[in-house]
Amino acid sequence: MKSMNIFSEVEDRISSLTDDLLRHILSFLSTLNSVRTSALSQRWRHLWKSVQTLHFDNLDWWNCKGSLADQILCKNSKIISKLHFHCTRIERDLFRIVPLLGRKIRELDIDLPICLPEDLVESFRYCEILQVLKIRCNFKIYTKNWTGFRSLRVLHISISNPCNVSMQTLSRSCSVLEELVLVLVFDLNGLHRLWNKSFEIFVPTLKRLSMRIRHGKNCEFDVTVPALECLDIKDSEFSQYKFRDMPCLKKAKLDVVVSNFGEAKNRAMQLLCAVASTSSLSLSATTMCILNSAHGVLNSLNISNSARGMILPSFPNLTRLELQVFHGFSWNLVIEFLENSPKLEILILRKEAKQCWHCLETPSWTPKKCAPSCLLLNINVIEIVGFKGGQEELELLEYLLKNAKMLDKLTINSINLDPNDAILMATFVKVLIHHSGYFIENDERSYVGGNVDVFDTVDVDKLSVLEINCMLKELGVFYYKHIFYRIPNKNLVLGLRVLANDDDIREMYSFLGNTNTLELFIEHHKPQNVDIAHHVLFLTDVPVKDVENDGNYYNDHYQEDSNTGSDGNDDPSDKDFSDSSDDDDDPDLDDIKFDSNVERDVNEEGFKEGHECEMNDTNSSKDRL
Amino acid sequence: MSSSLEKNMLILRSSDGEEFIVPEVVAVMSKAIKNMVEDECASNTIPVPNVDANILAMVIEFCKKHDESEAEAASDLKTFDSEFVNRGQEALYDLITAANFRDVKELLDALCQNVAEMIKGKSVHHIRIQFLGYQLFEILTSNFIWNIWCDRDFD
Repeated sequence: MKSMNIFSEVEDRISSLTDDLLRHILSFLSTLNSVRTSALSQRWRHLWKSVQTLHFDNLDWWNCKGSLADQILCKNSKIISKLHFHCTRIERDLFRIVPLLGRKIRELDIDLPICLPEDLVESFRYCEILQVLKIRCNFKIYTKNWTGFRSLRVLHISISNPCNVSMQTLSRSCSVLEELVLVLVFDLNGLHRLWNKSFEIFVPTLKRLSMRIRHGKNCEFDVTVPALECLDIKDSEFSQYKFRDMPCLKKAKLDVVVSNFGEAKNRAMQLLCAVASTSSLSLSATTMCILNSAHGVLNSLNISNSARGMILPSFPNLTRLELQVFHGFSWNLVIEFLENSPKLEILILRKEAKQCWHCLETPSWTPKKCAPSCLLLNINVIEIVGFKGGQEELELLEYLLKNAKMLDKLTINSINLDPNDAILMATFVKVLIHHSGYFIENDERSYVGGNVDVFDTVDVDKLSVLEINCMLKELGVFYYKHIFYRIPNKNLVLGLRVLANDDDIREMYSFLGNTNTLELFIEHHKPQNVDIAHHVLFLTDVPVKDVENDGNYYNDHYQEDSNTGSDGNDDPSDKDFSDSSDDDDDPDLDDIKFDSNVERDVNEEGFKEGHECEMNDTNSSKDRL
Repeated sequence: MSSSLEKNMLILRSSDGEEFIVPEVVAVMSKAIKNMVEDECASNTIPVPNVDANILAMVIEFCKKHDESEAEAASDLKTFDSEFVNRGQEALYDLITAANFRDVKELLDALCQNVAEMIKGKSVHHIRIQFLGYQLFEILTSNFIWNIWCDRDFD
């Protein structure tokens, strides 16, 4: 069909658009794709040069390394308003972007698997009018000569093992910040877990704050954000939060997980009190679990109804309430929420399919005689998701329908499907892990010499890089270079993708389709399964082996580039290094030593070696011995 | 007739004379109309030249949806957007022109994103066939070297 078009005259509509519009279209493409369009016609030839967005994706950047990249960079217009730099592998060419930073950049978006090196961070000071900064790699604030961003409005940043000083510096240096996405990742097994850490965040202009805390044990956050409108907290080990007054709060979303319920109740109450003035509230199942158990304790103590009502703060402005509930959940808590929020209009209940392990018995539910006033007067939309028709569910429904006099719309959906990830239908998948082997690049790529292990019922919801690491440890694989996954029904040449972070996992799901088998391939530093301690990749003067290996991996696609990537494979220093590190067989001890030297991202153990390190690699191995 | 309308309603008249009654909040999503309203140079009927009834209806549909679902989940809006822009080439470019002319930023971004998606990952050859139709010969002669470079299969 398509070839017919050559002969039938299609009206050239796209060229009827103005240059500005075409530039706007090109700005949505990655730079290499937009350079390609220069071949379309005379008119398109110079168009890409005036596009003010540079967008380098992983392969793009790799492809156009060397002179090609330089050509693109110098031909492009002098003013760059947006620069996106995404890459899942370590790039030696990273510093190429430094001269770009002086070009009046407004938006900078960097995604790397390593910690940003100090030089690069320092060169951010050239970006005087930077308004949006998104860094999805480990970021370290070198407080020494940190100048900050005077006009920054949006900041997305992830910091591993942060210290209070750097947090203070960060929040002080951004004077007009409006949006902050803060990802704090702590080591799972570092010494620092033993003591309390407290952080101060003080940003008077902030409107949207979202905090993602992973493994933050014994953390305490003191947050002063008087102008906040949206709050989103996700915490894997419920930290203590102290929020100062937030009178403008409109939206709050809380998702906290705890292991210790004792303290958690107080913290949860404290947090709820802090957000009580919000008009929209959303609580996750794990958060509800905490509240439910608090409720359960009060119930079992037989405290009178009036005292029980004290447990929740009142929500004077709340109009939209979204609660995730679960089996064994006490409806009394929902009713109590309703009683405490007189203005409520929209109620959404999502039922999780999984049983909450803390509440095994279904508490009996006796509805009170007088219904909450908001149910009688205000509520006009009720949405119920995931109800399967159990006895207690029907009772609640009956109660709601009987009392909601103003109800306009009731939606009941028996499938709980988060619109964000519609793939969760297949809850359990089979994971095949190929490990301890290596890739051979002939006409086709194949993985040889390894073992295949199968994990039969893996919960898709819970699959994360961390989880995969645990699985690998079970198989005796402690260190690896990369994890790859294969897109179902594609061969290893076309269908192999790197799996480095949780975004990749999400992408992997999207390929899953009808199949329920995931196939993972582990690439090791050496063909054999040998423990190798961290070696140093980045910022060394000595050419190091693995960078080159990275390159070779793609070489059969890109023959023309293979000449550039062929040194260092037999570098003697590298051999010394890995030999010496084989003796180093106590990973814990090693970790501690390592921690004292370098910051490390827990989630990506595969990149252990990849984290920046200013030392020469021979030095570091001596250090260890 | 115009006095009987509610105060916050506006009438938009397309280039072929059809009239649409829309709430003001929806209409001012177009910066151009917003300026007119703010300057009070608009009576109740605002002419929208260069945009025919068909396209205007689509633009209004888009604006209405975006206005309504401001509070709702962003993901819903995204699916709506992607379905909305999924149209034939003809309508697509008319919409782009209209969105640009009336300065509706959300619509313009969604549409341009869609065109970019269509260009992405295709070889130059395919883009030409899809978008430029019949210009193959001319380009081949003029840009020979670029062609070789650009036609490499990047993915």
